[in-house]
Amino acid sequence: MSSKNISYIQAITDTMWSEMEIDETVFVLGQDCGRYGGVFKATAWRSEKDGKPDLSKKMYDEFGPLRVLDAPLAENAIIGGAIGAALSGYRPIAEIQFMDFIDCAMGHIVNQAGTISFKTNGSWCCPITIRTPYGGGIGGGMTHSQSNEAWFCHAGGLVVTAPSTPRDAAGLLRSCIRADDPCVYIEHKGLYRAITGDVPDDPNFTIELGKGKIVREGSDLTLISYGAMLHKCLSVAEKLESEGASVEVIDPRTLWPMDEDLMINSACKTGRCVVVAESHAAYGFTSEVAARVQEGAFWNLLTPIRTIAGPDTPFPFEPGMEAAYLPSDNEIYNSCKRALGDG
Amino acid sequence: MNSKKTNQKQKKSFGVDQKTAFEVLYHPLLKARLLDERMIKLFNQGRFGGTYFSGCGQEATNVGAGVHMIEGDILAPSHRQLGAMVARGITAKRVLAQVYSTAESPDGAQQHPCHFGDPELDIVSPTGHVAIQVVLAAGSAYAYLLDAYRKGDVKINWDKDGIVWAGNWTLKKGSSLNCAFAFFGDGATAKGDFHESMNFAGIHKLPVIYMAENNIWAESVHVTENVPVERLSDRAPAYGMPGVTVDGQNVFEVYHAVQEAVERARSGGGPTLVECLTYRYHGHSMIDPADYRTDEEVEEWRKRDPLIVFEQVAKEDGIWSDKLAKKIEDKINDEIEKAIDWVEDESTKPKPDQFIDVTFRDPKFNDAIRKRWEKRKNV
Repeated sequence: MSSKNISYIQAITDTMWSEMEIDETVFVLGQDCGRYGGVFKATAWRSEKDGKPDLSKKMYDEFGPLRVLDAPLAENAIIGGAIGAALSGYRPIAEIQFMDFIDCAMGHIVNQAGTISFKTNGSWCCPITIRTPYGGGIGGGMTHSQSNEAWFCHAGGLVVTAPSTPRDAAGLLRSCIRADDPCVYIEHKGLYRAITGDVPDDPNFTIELGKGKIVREGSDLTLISYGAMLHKCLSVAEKLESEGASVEVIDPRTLWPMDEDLMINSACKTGRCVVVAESHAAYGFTSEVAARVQEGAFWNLLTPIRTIAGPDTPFPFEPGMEAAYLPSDNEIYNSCKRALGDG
Repeated sequence: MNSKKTNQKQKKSFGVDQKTAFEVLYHPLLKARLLDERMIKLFNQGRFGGTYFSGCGQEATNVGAGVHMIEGDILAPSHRQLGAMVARGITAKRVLAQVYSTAESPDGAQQHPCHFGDPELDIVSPTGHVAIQVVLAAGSAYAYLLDAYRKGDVKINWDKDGIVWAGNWTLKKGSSLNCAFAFFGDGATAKGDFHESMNFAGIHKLPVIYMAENNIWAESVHVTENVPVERLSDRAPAYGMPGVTVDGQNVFEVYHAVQEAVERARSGGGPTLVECLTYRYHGHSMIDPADYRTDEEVEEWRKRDPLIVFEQVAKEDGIWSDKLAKKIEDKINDEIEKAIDWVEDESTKPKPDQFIDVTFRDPKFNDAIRKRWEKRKNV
C-alpha cells in the first residue's frame, strides 16, 4: 500500500473526508467548521497526491452545509445534538474548538453519551466522536492551552484517544468514527503543522483502540508519554542512547481504556519507568500509569517510578512562564538519569 | 391557542369521534393513572426500592402528545412521562420490570425507578440532569432532517450571494419528517440546555415538539422563581418558533395543539413550544412531602383532574359512554394485575455484576474492567 507524507492536521482532515465519502451517516458539526473550515482548518482542505492541501475546495463545498454544519456557538447544542443524531442512526464528528471549552458540555458527554450503552443494558450505543485540540506551547494562555483528558478517562464509559503522529492521527480517528462507543479524540494543537509523517493511502486504515505502541525499543528504562511530550521523550531517548543507556519509549495512543499490560511488561523488562505528560499531576495520567505499573511490575522495579506532569495550577500565558510550565527536555532527561542512576 | 373565530360553538373535544376518544385517548389516560396509583401503593408497601416519581395529574399532557408519535420518532422524557410512554405503547409489564429493577428491565436495572427508557420504542432513559434530554431531541431532529436530505427531499435555499443559508431549507411536497418529542418541566426552562436546544432547532427549523409541562413547582421552587415571564410559551418567539399555552388537564386540547405542531414539523415547518398548564398531585418523588404548597391548591387542581375533564367534555359533546369506559378499565386492570403477578413471581433479579459488561460496546473494554473487578473480588 502506498503512503503519503502529510502533516498531523492533514491526516485528520483527510480521514474525516474519506469517512464522509464512504459513509453518508458521518457528518461534522462545530463552531466555525463549515464555511471557514475550522479555526485550525481541520475541516477545510483534503490533501493532493503530493500531500499539500488542495485549496480549490473545502469540505463544506464538497459535502454541503448540512453535513459540515456551522453549529451555533453552543457546546451543549453541539454535543447534545451529536448524541441525539447518533441515537437516530448517525456517526457525528463534533468539534469542540478548544478542549478548554469542553467543560460547558460535560453533562452531555459524561452522563449522556457515556451512559447510553450502560442504561440500555447494551441495546443502544452512542457512536459519536468528539474532536478537540488540547495542549500548550502555542501561546494560547489559560483557556486555550489546557489538557483535560483525565476528566474523560475518569468518567467511566468513554474512549479517550490521543494520537502523537500523523499515522496514528489517521488510524485512530477512523477507528473512533467507526467505533460504536463514544470517543473523545484529542489533538495536540502544537503538533498540527509541526510534524509530518507517512500515512497509508488506504480508506480502511485503522489503528485498534485500546492498544499502545512501543515506538522505540530499549532495555534499561521505560519512558511513557503521548502528544507533544512524546516527541520530547524521543529526543531525550536519543540523547541517552548516545550516552549508553537503552530507553524504551511507549505511546499509549488510547488513554482510556488503557493498554496497561504493554506498559507493565515493558517496566518488568527494563526495571525502571518514567511517565511524562503536560496535563495536571493530581489524579492525572502520570499518577494513573505509575499506580498501575507499580501494581503490576513492583517486584521487577529497580528504582522508584518517576512522574513529570504539569503543575496543578491554571495554565500561564507569558512565554517564559509557559515554557517553564511545560515539562522540558532537560527535566525529562534529568528524571531519566536519576531513574537510571538510582539503580 | 389562536383558534379561528367562528360563530358556531367550538366543540371542546375538537371533533374527535367516540372511537378515537376512547381507544386513542381515554385508554392510555386511564392506564397511566391506574398503573401510577398502583405503583405508589406498591412503593408504600415496600415492594420495590429507590424512590418513586408519580406523574399523577399530568396524564393528559403526556397522552395528548404521546399518541402522535410514530415509528422512528424519538421520545426524550423527563421523570413523569408514564402517560406519554403508555400512549406510545409501552406495556405495564415493561414499566414494572423497570420499577422493580429486574433483569428484564429495558435498562438492565441500571437506573432507579421512573427513569424509564425503552430502546424498542425509541424512548431515551433520562439522566437526572434536567433539560439535557431537550438538547438530545434537537439532535435526533437534525438526524431526521439529514434523513430527508439524503433522500433528496431537502432543498437548501441560499441567499442571493450564495454565501449564507441560515437553516433555510424546504421539504419536497409529499415528503414527511420524523419528529422528536422532548418533555421537560417549568424548572428546566431556566437551564441553558433549554436555550441551546430551542436556539438550534429554531435556526434549522428542526422537527421538534417541545412539551413544556408547567406544573407550577420545580421540586419545591415556584414557577415564578424560575421563570420571569407570565407564560413559558412567551419564550418561543425568541427562538423563531410558535408557542402555545394549552389546558394541560384537557386531553382533547393537548391532542389538538400537538396535532397542529406535529403536522407543521413533519412537513418542514419547524418546531413548536407547547406549554401545558398542569399539576402533579404528589411530591417530586415519594420522599418529598410537598409541604411547600397548600392543600387547597392541590384540591383545586384535583377538581380539574384529566379523567374528570375527559368525562365532562365527552358528555358535553355527546361522545361519552359508561360502557366503553368500564370495558377499558377492566382490560387495563387485568393487564396491570397480570403484570404485577409476573414481576413479583416470575421476573428475575439481575446478577450483581451485570453492570460490568455493558459499559462499552467493544467487549474487550468491558473485559478489562471485569479483569480488575475480579482481581478486587478475589483478593
